[in-house]
Amino acid sequence: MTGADLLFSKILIANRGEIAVRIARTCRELGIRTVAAYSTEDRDSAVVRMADEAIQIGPAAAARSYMSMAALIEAARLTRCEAIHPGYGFLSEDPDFAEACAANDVAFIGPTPEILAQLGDKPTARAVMAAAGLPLLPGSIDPVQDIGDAHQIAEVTGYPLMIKAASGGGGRGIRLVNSAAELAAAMHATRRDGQAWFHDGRVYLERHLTGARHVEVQILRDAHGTTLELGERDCSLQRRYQKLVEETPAPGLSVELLSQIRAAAVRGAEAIGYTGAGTFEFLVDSSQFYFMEVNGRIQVEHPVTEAVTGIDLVREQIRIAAGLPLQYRQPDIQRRGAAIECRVNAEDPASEFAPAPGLISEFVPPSGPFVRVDTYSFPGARISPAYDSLIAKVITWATDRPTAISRMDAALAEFRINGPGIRTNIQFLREIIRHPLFLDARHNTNTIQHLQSQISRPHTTITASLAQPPTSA
Amino acid sequence: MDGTDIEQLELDATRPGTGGSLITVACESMWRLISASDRPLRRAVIRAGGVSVELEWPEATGQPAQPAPPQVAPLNGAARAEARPGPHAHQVCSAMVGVFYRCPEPGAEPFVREGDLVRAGQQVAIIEAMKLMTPVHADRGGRVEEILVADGQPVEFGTALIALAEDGPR
Repeated sequence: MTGADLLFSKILIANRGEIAVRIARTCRELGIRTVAAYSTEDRDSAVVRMADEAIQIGPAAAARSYMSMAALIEAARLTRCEAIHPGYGFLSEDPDFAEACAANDVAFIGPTPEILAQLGDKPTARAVMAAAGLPLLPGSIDPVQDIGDAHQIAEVTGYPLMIKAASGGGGRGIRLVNSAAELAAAMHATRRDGQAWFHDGRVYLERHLTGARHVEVQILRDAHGTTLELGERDCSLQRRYQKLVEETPAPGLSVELLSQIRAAAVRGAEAIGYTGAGTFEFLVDSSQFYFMEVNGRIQVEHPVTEAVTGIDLVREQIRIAAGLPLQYRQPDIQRRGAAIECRVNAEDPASEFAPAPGLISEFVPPSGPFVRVDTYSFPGARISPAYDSLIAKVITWATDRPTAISRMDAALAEFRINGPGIRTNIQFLREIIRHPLFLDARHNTNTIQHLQSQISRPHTTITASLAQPPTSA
Repeated sequence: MDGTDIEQLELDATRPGTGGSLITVACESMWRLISASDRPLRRAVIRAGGVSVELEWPEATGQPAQPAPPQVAPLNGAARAEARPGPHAHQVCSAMVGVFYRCPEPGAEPFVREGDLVRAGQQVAIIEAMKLMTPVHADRGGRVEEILVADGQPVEFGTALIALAEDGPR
């Protein structure tokens, strides 16, 4: 195995759910031993069964388990792990955690603490990227001082605008403001959210684009200064700022625009001296694109990029963290065909997508050619109400987008998940991906909200022509 | 025994193709199986389409109220408490990941020995995590029946450290 002796011999997986399983798989392939760090809630979980060792780090509450730096670092030390993979969410982008790892001689598989601190502070990240020549949405670069300041900026920016927490992320700490009358209340609420979620009450303003596309670029950059872009992903189908469907390549956008966006991401990664796998997020409005933020972690939707490039992103993350140079150059990155991912969540479309966790008694994932399922579920597994509602990600690949979509539809139709209390969004996903707006690539970040408001009863089908009774309703 | 002892009971008779008479037969066979055992069930699943009756009993730990320990590889080098205490014991468990110490400092007398009586709130050990020494207090009184972890061993969250016999002072 190339460079296996230079890699870590043992990695602590400081996460849960499907991403923990995903990381364990690549480690096994690389001959790296794994330790699953788990909460009492996850004691019977898939990664605990799969990893070479497991260590119980705390109770169900994430603050005392998956977000407890002391528990995780102590767990890594006691099990003699050389590195920690933080997955996504939890402590994955916490500069203090990355620093605590370094202080305890454990490699953090992710960017340096300095980079994470700059990216996590959105005003700083915007300033750095603006200096690197990336276009920003009109708005404030520095955090807004007071409401007078906010009104002044809003006059230049125009409405509707977004008010965002300086340390926000993951769809939290964002508010849409439609008019000057709403500004004060929204600013107050967003400050409070930012304080509660991120211990940072600073906010900034940004013009809101209605009907824009969310396009992001996957970057890999090693510690030796080689930068690669692995193409873009379109994640425009979102519900309340949570992505539901992601695909690559981004459909319906010009080749020139997409190559400009990818080049901008490379420029940004080089400007900040990024290391590891990262994602540059942009909003795209007709022929303009605007930088939004950088995510310094592996992302939920990374498999679509893996499907078209053939590159295992977790493997590259581990190699970069071990200080190894990338084995590819940009011309080696050949993207082939189209890939799409759907997030299957334990939530009930019939009651406002409320979480519907519980025990899974029947679990039959789809299979077959060019179908990938990343999951931590099995018959007898429990979807815990303590964590997020993601049950599985279904990824399909085909030589072209229409085939990838019909393959996805067939795969979702095959997926059987049942159990007391369990509801899923599978039927909803099927309706969305078969909708003409999506098939014709005329969708945007408002499409799901728009389609939902078209119908009075959310559990009825979205278009009459697609009517098919949901199996569980 | 009756159904109230079962922690989870699933019935799957609402699915299409499920015959009402099938479910009756399945239920009958389930109750027959349950009454053959004197231990409370943990989980029961009946599926009538294709007929399947699944019953699950908790593992025999002598402590039916406690969830079964996870089936995982033991912590590197750590002796996971092999000897499970008797049914009347109470366990003082670790509230964090760290290293277990019986004594305030190397060479000193241990906080408690087997046979000692302890009060609720009395310090019985130390867990070292991130170079910080955190005292472990008995969460109730009792007689120390057994120290379950060797001095200097790494422990997980929830690892049983000290078994207390119930007959001690409250």
